[in-house]
Amino acid sequence: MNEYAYTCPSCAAPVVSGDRFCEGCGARVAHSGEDDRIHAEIDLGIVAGVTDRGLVHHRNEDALFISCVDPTAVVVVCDGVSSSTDPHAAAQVAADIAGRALVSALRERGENAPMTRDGWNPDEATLAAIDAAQHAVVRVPAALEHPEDPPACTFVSALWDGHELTVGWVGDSRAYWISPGDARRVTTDDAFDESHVLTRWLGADAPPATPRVTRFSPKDSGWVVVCSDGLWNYVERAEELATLLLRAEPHESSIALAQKLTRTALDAGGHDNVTVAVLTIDSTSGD
Amino acid sequence: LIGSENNMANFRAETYQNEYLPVGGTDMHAIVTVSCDGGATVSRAASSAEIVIVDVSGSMNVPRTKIGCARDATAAAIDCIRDGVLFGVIAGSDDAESLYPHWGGLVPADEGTRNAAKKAVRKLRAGGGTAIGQWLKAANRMFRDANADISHAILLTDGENHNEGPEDLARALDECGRAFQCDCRGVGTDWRVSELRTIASALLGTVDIIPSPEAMVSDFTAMMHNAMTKAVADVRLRVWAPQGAAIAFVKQVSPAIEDLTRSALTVNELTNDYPTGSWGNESRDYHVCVRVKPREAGEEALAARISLVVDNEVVSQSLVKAIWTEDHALSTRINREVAHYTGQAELAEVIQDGLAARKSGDEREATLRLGRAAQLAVESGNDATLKLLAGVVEIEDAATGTVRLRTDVADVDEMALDTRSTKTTRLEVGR
Repeated sequence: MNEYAYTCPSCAAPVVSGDRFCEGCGARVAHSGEDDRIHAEIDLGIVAGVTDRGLVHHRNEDALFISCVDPTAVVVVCDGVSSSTDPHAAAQVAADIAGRALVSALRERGENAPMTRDGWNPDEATLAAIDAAQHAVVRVPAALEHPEDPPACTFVSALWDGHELTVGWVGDSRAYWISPGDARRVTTDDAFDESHVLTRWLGADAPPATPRVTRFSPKDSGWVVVCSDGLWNYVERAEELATLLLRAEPHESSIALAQKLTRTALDAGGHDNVTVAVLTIDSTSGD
Repeated sequence: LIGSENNMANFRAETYQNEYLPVGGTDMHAIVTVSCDGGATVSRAASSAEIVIVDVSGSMNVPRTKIGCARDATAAAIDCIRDGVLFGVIAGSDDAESLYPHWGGLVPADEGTRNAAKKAVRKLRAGGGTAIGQWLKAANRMFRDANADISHAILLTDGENHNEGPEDLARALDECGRAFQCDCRGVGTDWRVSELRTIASALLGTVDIIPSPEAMVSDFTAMMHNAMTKAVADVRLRVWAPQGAAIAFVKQVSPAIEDLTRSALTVNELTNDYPTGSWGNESRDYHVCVRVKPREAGEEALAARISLVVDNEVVSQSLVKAIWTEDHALSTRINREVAHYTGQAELAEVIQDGLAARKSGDEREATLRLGRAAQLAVESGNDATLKLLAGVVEIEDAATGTVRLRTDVADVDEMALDTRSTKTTRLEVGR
């Protein structure tokens, strides 16, 4: 898993560039670059997300990865550590690589044991994806040029296999579970007293620690909200999020909810980059 | 702007190119305009060192006024040196004498040291030969000991480098590396343009002629004033070219043409740095040509990433793209800036070739080349060069390049044309 999931289609070199061209052969790569990230939305039905530069920062250092093969879904949100060098590149490469690793883990599970859960270990898949992201962030070029301040980012992933939700994280990007009877934060920040001073992150100078992973089976229908601190700076408590989401029309789409939460953060000041992904889990459908 | 994040001087780079190449096309040209709004915004003011190297060989007595003018010019330059800048004066003949300070180091400028230096300069006497390599080696030693961020010298000579071989000069230049920048001036007409141009090119400086001794004071004053505006040391142009591509050339094209291709310092397999010396409030243009592997029609790729590096930090970056197309209307369009500077480079080349042909007695070739030069100078609005050309040829019709060689050309006119042939004009704004 410690390989680049993302390589140049033309020369197969690993791609980490922020300028949409391969570092090796110069080919244009379908990599989202700076200018695509002022505001981007991805709508894949049950799962959707928005990333926005916000109103203050000159660039978006958050990154978002979303994939959906109904009934399964993958979400990764990374937030570049702004005191590091090229944090946007760290976040982008971490989100892309972990996201693709989780997608291939889901795919392999399908091939090996269709419709059964034998041998499927989502905790392990999540840890392997975070490990791949960590290795990729270490190889962002600026890591060599600025060993004193290497690129760094936070990480949070949500892996929905149709039965269970597995959340892994490093740093202070968060995941929440919101349903009519149960609204709670799934992650606990790797930060001093939730002060934004991180105790863990991904990057060449990251303290050695096993990332945290938690797993549960939703009993009810509800939403998984995965976000960077650009949202939770303004909507901190799970109850506040629940109020916002439950006020929505029934069956409101994931993208509409993600847009609404992003708008809330921007209206409140949009001081940081904002990234919000919403995964709608409907326990009445499927099995 | 990547540069806007740094607490350094603000560098801005703009790229001009036609991104379209015909199918099978390989040569991508781009002009990069780099502007530095330096001075005030520099967080850490660079420390500076200055040395004035004055030729005191015997010929400086001919005409008699020459050595006196050199004294006045050196004193005027000393007056321009800012407080705190380390400085010294070298008197050059067969050897290099530390005229001020006597012990051969550099001292910080203040009123007292400037006056003491001017007093020493007043005692300058001409006598002996010319060994420029020795002068440069002495300056290099002093700069090395002073260890300032920006080291700059003014070198004045009035004759050829008689008292040492070309290999001695080459070795001295090698020894200096690019440890200091050196602006070179030849006074009168007994010095050799190619010699001073070699020195100035190697040491990232300018070269010019001072036609008469009386003009030295104003020239030295201007040079030193300009040197005092430099606030950012050791700026490099960094060029990344893709795997399988080759950098055909990297040239500074404004304010004057300077081929940097061979001064490349390897950063990694795909990246080279080209030293550009120190910068003040100024703007320079570069012409970069990269030979890339052709791709299919409709494909887009990067031909180069061009950045500016200060203290190992990238302060601005621009992209040179290539898109292959079957549409000839797109691929044959020549970018205005690229065309202009291609013309300016040809102008310098035909002048130098024309003068060489004239010297060797090939009048036909000389007329042809200098005629082409007149044509290019008119087309590009390079009036300064056109005026210099008129001193060497009679221009009958510049538009068609019809000229006649003058028979009574003054040495000073010919040398001025040669020396200044690399000075370029910029495109007029408004397009």
